Amino acid sequence: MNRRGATLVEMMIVTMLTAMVIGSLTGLFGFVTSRAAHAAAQAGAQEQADAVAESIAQTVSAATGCTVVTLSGSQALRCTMPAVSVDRDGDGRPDRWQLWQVSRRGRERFGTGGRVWFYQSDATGAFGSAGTWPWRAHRSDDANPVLLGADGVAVDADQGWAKHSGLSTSKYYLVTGLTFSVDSAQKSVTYTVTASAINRDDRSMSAGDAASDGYAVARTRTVSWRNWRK
Amino acid sequence: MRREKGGAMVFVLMLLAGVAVLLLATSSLTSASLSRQQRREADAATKNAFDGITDLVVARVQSGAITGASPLSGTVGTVPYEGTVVDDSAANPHTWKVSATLTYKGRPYTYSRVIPKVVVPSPYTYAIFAEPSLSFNSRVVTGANGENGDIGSNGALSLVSGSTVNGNVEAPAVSADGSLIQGTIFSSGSPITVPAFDGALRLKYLAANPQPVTRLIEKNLDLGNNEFWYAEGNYSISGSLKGKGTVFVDGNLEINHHLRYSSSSDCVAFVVTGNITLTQSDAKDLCGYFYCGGNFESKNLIERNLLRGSIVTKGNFVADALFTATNDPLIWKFPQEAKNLKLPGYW
Repeated sequence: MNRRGATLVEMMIVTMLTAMVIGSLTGLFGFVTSRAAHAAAQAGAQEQADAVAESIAQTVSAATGCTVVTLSGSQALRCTMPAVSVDRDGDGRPDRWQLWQVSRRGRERFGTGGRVWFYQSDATGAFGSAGTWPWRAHRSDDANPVLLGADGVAVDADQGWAKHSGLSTSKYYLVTGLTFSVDSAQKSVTYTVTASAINRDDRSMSAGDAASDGYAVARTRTVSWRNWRK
Repeated sequence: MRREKGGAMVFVLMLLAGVAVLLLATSSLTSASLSRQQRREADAATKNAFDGITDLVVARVQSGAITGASPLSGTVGTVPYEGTVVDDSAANPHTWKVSATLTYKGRPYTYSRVIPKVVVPSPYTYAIFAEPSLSFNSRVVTGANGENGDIGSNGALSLVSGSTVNGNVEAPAVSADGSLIQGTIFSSGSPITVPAFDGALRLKYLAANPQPVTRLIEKNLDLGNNEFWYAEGNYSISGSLKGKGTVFVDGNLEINHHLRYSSSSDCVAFVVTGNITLTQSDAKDLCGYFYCGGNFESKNLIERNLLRGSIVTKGNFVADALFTATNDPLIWKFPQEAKNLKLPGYW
């Protein structure tokens, strides 16, 4: 058999072509994974902002009244809830509120129950502490939720809402801002939840990347409290 | 040649495997995100649909189309539902419970809500109701824990600072003067008629028991079961009230000492054509549903307490010291009791 071998030029051409193909594929792979991570981060920011916004909306719409409380530069929304509540998901915190009684004129009365707070804080959940963790807290009165338990977390703070089960990380770690304003005449709350994929541990880009590579989402809603008849 | 083809094939297969893994990962992320969004969409769609169902039931209740337990079925948009409207008054007086199961994309979602019934207002469901106007000249505390303390008038209502109303305040014009009102101020309710004691009404009461009681100063009444007592002229009463029934006084009534129920099941209505007066320092507690054709007057700077009952006056309510009043919710819970007690307007 007469086997003809490859010439040096042929080998060099093959090597060059192989390198070009692998290089382009590698570049393509890197681009795709980078954009996928960007998209995932964007989706994560949207999802977390939507989740917080929806939780606030559900609470405000069931409240009998809301007010903004400020402490040490931190802002919180305090919602006064109806007297009768139900814990439907079994987490020990009320999540549904209902009619308390009917007035002598046949109008709904919701009474006055506990307070639900929304604010940002650090890992302790103490209102007034600087931080970007979104927290929800429950109290039976108008005092601020600042008490700390044995685990260093505020007693009134709803850990199940703020953190992943069994972990010490915030569930809404991409949320960067919560602002509230109350219109008592219109019985409504306007709030903005902002979330961003920049400067987070699982971010798809580093802090040094161009700002245009980052993604910030803001959810602004105006929700009325419907159960205002006491 | 075969070895070269084999090498290239391995290379291509490795590339394909890498791309496939990447595509699977992206697909998994996308589908997880999609399923979360679908769950949110289902929650929002079914909740909004149930809100629509409830609004529909409320409208039908107010129009009189629903007056008893009723089945529900239909479609809200593209969401079919089946449910019921049942009387929930045992748990919460004058309420319906609306329950429905909605089917969205093949899955059932169940919701329920309690809504109010149509209520015909009765003055005897208020702690104090004065027809012409209700102007307190001393502090008043009504009800407890936010309930059984509604006060109302068909005219102007004014409270003295330091008063507490555990309920609603209803009048065309309300002056709260910083009082604590645990309910709501309503100024647009329709007037509640308090019957005047005219000739026809007097005859009806006289026909119920034409034999007047012999004593005009009574202590410790035992009315048994639905007895009707008639006092011709001015009457004084005090002591313990026992049983269930009606005392009709065709004149003025003076409560000259404590007047208290002997048990939680006692219930007495006082239908007085003239004035009801409390002047004695020992007359601090009183019980009963009081219809007063004239004025209700608490005098001599004595603090008094309507432990359980209602004060309904055709004239004015006057109290010169702290007056505490708690409505007896019996008529609120069982409206037919107003007729059993022979209260004006219901008998």
